[in-house]
Amino acid sequence: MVPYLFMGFGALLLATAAMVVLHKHPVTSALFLVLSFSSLAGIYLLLQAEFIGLVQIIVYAGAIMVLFLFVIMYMNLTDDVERGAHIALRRGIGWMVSALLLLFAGLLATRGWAPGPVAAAPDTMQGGNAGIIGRALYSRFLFPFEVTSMLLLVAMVGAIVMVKGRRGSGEERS
Amino acid sequence: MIPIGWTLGLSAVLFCIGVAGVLVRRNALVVFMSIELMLNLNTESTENTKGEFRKSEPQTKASGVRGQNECGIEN
Repeated sequence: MVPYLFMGFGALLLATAAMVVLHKHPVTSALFLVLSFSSLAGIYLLLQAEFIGLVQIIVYAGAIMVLFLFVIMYMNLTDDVERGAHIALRRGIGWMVSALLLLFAGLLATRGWAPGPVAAAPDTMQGGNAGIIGRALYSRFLFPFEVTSMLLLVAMVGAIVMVKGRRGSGEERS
Repeated sequence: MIPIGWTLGLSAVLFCIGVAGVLVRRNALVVFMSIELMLNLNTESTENTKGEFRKSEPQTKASGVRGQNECGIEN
């Protein structure tokens, strides 16, 4: 049952991710991205990572995608259909590079060039999924966690300063 | 249980789709969405490696319960 569910979710994930890239209209590709995040949450649930799966639905499919849709509709973006030899060349190079990357990944997997995943030291199962993540986050990965939070704080302050500076210069001009 | 190669292969294919989205699309927001795809898949592969040792670890404690669950799921 679980492998079939995994195959179904994986096929849905691949199809919707391909539609995100292939579809012309940004709103439609954002809605496909919501669907792909939801199927990815299903895969997380199949991997017995319930906390990550639910956070995936709440944060990604909820908050971040709503933010994306707000920005798309606020800026009133149209289809990004561009023509010309330069754009076509760039597009072809992009497809070729990603195909080469996929080929390289396949070679790594089949020829056994990569040693495969190395499991970290196992945590205790007590406290469930969220407990494991919280304990790892606040003990072993405390320093990267704090660095990330400082980075987010700096980005937030920078965004506020940029918006304020732009508004101030606009008032001076007018 | 799901073999680890499946999730790694799935994440590799999706990472390539994200790279294609970054390189091919001109719209900045769609490029951001493709970057989100790539980052998501990295978490998926790390999550599955965690599941791999989680599968091997509780054999000392609750192997009987887990085996019964798997048989129930398989049927």
